[in-house]
Amino acid sequence: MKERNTKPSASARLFAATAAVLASCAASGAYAFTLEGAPKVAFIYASSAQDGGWNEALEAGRKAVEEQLKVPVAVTENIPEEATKLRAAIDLYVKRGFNIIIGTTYGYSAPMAEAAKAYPNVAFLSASGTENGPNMESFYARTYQGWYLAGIAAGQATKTKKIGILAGFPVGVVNWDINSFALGARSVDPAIETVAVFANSWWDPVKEGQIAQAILDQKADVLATNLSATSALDAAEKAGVPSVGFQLDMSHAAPKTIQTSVVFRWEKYLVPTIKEIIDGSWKPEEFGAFEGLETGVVELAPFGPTVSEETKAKIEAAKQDIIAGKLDPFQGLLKKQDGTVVVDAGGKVDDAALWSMDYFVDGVIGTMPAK
Amino acid sequence: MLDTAFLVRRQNPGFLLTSLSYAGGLLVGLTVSAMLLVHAGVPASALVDEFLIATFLTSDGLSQTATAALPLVLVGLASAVAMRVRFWNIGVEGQLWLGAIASTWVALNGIGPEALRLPTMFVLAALAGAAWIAISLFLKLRWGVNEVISTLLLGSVAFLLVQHLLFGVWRDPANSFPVTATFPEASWFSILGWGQLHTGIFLVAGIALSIWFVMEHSRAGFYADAVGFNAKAALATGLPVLRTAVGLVLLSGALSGVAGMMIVAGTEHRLNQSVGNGYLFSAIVIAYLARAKPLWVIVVSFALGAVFTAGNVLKVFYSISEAMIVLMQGTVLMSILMAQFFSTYSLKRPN
Repeated sequence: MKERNTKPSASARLFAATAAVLASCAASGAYAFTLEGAPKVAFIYASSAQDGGWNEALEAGRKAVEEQLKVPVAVTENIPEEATKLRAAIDLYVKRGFNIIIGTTYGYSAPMAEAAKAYPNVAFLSASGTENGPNMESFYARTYQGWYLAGIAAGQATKTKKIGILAGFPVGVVNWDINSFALGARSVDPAIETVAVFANSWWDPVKEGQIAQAILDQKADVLATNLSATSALDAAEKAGVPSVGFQLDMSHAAPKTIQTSVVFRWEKYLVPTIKEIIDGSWKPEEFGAFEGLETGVVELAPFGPTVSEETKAKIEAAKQDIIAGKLDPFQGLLKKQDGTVVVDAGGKVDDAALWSMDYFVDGVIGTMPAK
Repeated sequence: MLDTAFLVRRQNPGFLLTSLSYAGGLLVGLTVSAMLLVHAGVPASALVDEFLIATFLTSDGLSQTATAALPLVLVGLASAVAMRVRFWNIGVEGQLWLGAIASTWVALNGIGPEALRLPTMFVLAALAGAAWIAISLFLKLRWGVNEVISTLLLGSVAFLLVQHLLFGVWRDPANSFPVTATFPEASWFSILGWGQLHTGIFLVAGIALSIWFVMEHSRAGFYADAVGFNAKAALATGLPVLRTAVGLVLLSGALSGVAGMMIVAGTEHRLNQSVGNGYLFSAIVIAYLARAKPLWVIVVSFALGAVFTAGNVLKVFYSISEAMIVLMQGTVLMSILMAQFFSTYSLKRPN
């Protein structure tokens, strides 16, 4: 499998884009992608599109594409992450003239890459995917930037100096959220500890509610969820402790206690990218699209009623610093849970190391499953 | 008016009655399924287009059906051979997972010379599947533990084992996602150039024909039927009851294991958490509809493969859920089983 290596920075990206424009002027676009026929877009989901979280956030992006670009957009749900079943769905779409296919889970990535080779005039976009090519781009967001800001909110809110986060599985994109949340809280007070628990499921509301209660029983007085269900927020609202949601604005589940939610705004990536594909100006990123606060693909939902002005100001300042490149959640000196140094002062974790992040940082209480 | 009636088992239901009731059951099942689909919002005209034409009359549809049928034939046979000796293998998915694990281990670690990679995967997958069912077999023979329970529960254990590996040693090294790296090409069945159909079809054909020969034309098949109909009588006659039963149960596990290998080496080229899902139900449906006859298993597997192909079309373009497709399978199965009941029994008035 190809090494997942994401693009270095916004400036390098700009440079790459400029270089690409120059190159295409010089070589009349040897790598250019052209769409065959009228644009027709298809979204393929592994489960229900209205799942209250991940899919629903992409679904909001899909609706924006439909409304703003005025192109036909089809939706298919419940296609399992199996090569044969996904490929059959793609084949059917392509046969009926669909030429922009969006897959919505990492499990689709490899079969999509094979389909991309078979259909060079069809554009493929793979959410949280791992493969890229002349007509395929994977996209994900720097969610950890949002979680750092949410960590500041939690750090400001905690009195017991202990906060909790409920997550799905120990994969890179989840681990960086947990770590960044803990680091954001520690930027407020270095004594704050973060209890992290994996539910070992992406969707299990009952179990999530039980875990949430267990975290609260450990004297944590802020509770965040990294999952699509709102169980943790329900438990927090009941216990009257501040909470943080994810993927969509989850304030409906905890109107009194919610601080904010770290949300995806996929339309900020999907609308311009699909527009480029239609215009013929699309250049897939060699290492995938990986945008964050600077483009607004990740942002914080409106703050809850209990968030102080001081907290809001702190978060805004950190946000501006991250956008300006003055602050990186994973900058040195960064230590793992066991005290080993990940990056020395002055350095930061690069993108490849982000994707393979398989440790907790100093200040997280929890166990990473052994390799 | 009919006040009382007796159900009388027919001594020997004729071929005509059997096939008529089978066809009748199939027709009722398909009609009810079609009504369900129309009710769910699929236009009746589309049913003909999508179901019949796209599935059976296009090259793509047929190649998809054939590809999907390969592991189905294997799990169907697995369920069928165990059924012949009245061993209820409800752990087909568990043995399939073990086969997938064994072949993944061979593929990822490059065990053995490249030319022998696929045969090595095949042998180890078969052994792993057989070993997994051997646990249930041992529990049954030693302590009389019901195999329905033990095979089913071991299926869950096998899935946890897969998760343990995928979130541990086998997770994708580049991004920690719970899927293995793609296998080197030496571990792939090569594509035949007709859709996704691969050379695994020859292996499946060979296995299916061998099992057909063994079950229908050899002494072992005769023993199996004797054991299945009445194990005590078979034992009293001096037949090798234990040997026959143990052999076929282990064969059942091995076939499920090979199905796991067929999926990872044939179409997925990696192991993930969803490759084995749904095969247990399919295996039981196939074995029942085929009445545990090997050649019929092949036919029914292709029919079920076609249902998946058609189901895919319905899912993609008409937002029909997976649950609806399983419901259709169940409807067809139930109608045929009920029709079979009436070909086996007749209603008699009391004299």
